Amino acid sequence: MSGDLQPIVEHVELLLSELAESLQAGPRIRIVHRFQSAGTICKAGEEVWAILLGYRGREVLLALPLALRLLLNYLAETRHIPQSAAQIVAGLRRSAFYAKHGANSGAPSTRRFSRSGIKEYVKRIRGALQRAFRDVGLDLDPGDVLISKGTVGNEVQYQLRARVEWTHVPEDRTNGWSRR
Amino acid sequence: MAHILLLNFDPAAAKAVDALLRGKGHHVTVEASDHSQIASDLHRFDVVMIDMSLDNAAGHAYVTAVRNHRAEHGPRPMLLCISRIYRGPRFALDLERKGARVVYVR
Repeated sequence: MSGDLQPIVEHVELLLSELAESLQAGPRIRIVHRFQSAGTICKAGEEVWAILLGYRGREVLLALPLALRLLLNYLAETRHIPQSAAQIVAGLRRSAFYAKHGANSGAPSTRRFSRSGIKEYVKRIRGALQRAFRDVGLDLDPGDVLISKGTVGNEVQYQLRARVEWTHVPEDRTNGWSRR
Repeated sequence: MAHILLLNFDPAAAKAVDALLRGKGHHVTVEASDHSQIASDLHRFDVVMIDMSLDNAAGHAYVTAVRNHRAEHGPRPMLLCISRIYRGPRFALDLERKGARVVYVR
């Protein structure tokens, strides 16, 4: 083998950086809110417009319906602490953001959550993550990103383990915003 | 400083890549065992590099072995496939879907 082998070294260094990054913080998730009111961030009335998975400079859209986008947004907001299905439902019901979701558009879009439904919703979110991981070539178990933890009793707690960032589209710029 | 495993390389190519990576301070292992043996050793490495220039069954078997290991144990080792022969975007895409990074070298 002759010629320029420098690309090999560069790719090895890049892979090592990615490995260190993924071992520490998990994949990167970007949540896009639209209908943002001027001067506010993540205020009631905004919509969880899209959720994207980022890896190696690429982003792919997670194919999630409204209920799952709301749940994943909530888990991202509260990812510092594992929660049971009952705690998740209580948090969603109590939050004005989810009660008034999308209200700034003039057509609110909300969903009701039940404790018995959370487990199935978590399973579906993991399915969407699995497909996104495959699309970006990320070999990761979705169960290691949206994790389930047992407790001393029979209760299961859920927690999102990922880097998350939120971006906002102002109310007057929705039509002109382009997705990557 | 990382532990790197080279698979499916011919001796001359292995020697060149080995010297290059050792010069950068990495620990390099050049493995000649078949893919059925490799799975038990993968936990020792940070990066596995497979020479796919021949696009042979052995190379693809190694890729599958690493992919299966990562599916069970996590993102380590990372997988880098190199090729000295350009085989088009489909070739690279198929490997990337298995979690590999692909680089063409001359």
